[in-house]
Amino acid sequence: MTDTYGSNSQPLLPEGAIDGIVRQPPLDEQSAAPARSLGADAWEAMRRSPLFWISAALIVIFVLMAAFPGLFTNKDPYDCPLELARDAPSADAWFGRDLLGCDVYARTIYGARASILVGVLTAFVTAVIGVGIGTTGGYVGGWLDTLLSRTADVFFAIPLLLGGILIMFTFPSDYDTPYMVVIGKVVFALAILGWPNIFRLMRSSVMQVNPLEYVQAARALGGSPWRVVTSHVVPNSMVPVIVVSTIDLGAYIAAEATLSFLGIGLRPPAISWGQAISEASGLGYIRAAPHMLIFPSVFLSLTVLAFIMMGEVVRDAMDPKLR
Amino acid sequence: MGKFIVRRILQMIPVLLGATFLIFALVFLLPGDPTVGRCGERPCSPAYVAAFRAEYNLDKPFIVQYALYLGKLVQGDLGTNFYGNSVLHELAIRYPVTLKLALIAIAFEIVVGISAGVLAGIRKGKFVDNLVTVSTLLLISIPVFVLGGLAQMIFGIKLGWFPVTATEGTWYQLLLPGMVLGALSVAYAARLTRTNLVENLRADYVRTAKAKGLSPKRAIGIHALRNSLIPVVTYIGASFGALMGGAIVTERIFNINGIGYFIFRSITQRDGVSVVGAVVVLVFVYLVVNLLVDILYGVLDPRISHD
Repeated sequence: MTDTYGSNSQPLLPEGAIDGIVRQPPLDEQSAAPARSLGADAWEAMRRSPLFWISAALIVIFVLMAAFPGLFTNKDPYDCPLELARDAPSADAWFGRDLLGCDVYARTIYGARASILVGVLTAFVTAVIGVGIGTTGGYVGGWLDTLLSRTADVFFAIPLLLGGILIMFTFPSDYDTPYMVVIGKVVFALAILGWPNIFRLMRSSVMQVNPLEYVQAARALGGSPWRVVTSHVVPNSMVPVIVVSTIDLGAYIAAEATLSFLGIGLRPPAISWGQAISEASGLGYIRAAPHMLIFPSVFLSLTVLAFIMMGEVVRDAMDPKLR
Repeated sequence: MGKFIVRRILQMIPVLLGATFLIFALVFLLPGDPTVGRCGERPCSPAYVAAFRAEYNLDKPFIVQYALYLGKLVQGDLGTNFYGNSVLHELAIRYPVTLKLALIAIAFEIVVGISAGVLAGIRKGKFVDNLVTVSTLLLISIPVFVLGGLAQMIFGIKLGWFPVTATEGTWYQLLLPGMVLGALSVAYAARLTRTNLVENLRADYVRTAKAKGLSPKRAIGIHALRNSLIPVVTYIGASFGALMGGAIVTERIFNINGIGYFIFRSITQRDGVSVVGAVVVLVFVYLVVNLLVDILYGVLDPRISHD
């Protein structure tokens, strides 16, 4: 409620802002506090947010876990004494043992690699495709833009998970498929359906930046289209893409886990959280050995949470409207 | 209005054609043998491969292939799986359960999502707002299959409030799975409502409404809320896609014999004709729902031009 009344004072601000000259701080004030860029401003805002530090810490931990699982456990995830199957958590196996007697803790640690790889690679590939095509559409315009936008509409029309199921089903993996090939397939399936998101964002932000004075000036000074685009248009349109890519990264991790859960993402011998949860969610096991379900579920959810939270913190810091 | 509807439907046609073409291309055109995974965990017999190639005209040029495929699709022919059952028939006997599940999820999304969003929006920065923000963030982060397993464990087994499985598919049995399915969309709907409401409460027209002496309830409930809900309606349409993907997972967890479980079972049995047929139908349903939402949007928001 306070907001509604608080806005009464707002008309005072634009009066100075419209002018443009008034908005400039006086010289002495400038020398007292050096002008900060948007990035530095955002960093100042983020530094004070506990959510930023929590998500950053979680991301560092999970990335380390993906890169060097040996730092977190010295157990072999493939060492599975069958006689210990479904044992409850103990000093020997902190998270208990799964259906085949494998150590749930070791498998949960080793499972991070698949999730982080798929998430990071998919976010990267969608960003590259989306930024490339989006910049082309937004900068060139005309019939090319229409064609690209309509193409993106078609890809956008297919829900991520349904399309992912179709693609993964068409390219099945079996026991002998190399690890990176399976990861590549999942990334391909998610990226081919995910790029329109980034495309739309990039296209609209390029169209906003395009008519601004510094872009016009760069063009008037004789900058080649390539130079204008790479050194002026793209760097100034990237912020929304970075934010949304971070949030999407979390969503891609969840999508990969869902595909693995359905049995068409990663399959054994690859280790993934989705698979572990799938194995553990038989009704009898939930009752008899809930530890098989809980630990991978918590790790998966925390990873997704970390990236989504990070994206939101960055967005809030970058968006001056929300301050 | 009539013109607007016709235009929207006409705009939909290229997208539908494109989407079916994309699906067709993904399934039949990409390098690889399209009969892979059509016969369970073993390679197809030469007789089946020959019959399959003939049925989908795989020896003809691909444009012809696509046209013939589309022709079949329009007539509702989704193919016959290797059990000899028509996929359309399999879907027809299962859709009522999935429809119920989706209705529960959407009702949950609308009632809980919008109320939480409104509560958070009118008390921006207060405890309720923070509570809604944090709990929606958690809901967004927990994948639907994790949530399903946890809900089953806590509410079904530990507390015993709900039936653990929903084999018969009664409304009561579907309540918990429906809420699990709708949870992600509830979170987004709540956030969207909150953001829009906060923005609209600052708007001039709300101030005018208050200034001319309307009660806060009326100024918020009638003036601000109506405008804030327009994007939420669009979101609920778009969330239908995630809902159908989620139905595959939810129905698997709770043993619900609907379309989702059919797709899941077909995946594990590597019954490709059924998987592709059923998923294509779901994509179609999604597109049609979004077309309807688009039209509804035009009705709700008079600012959208109708010429």
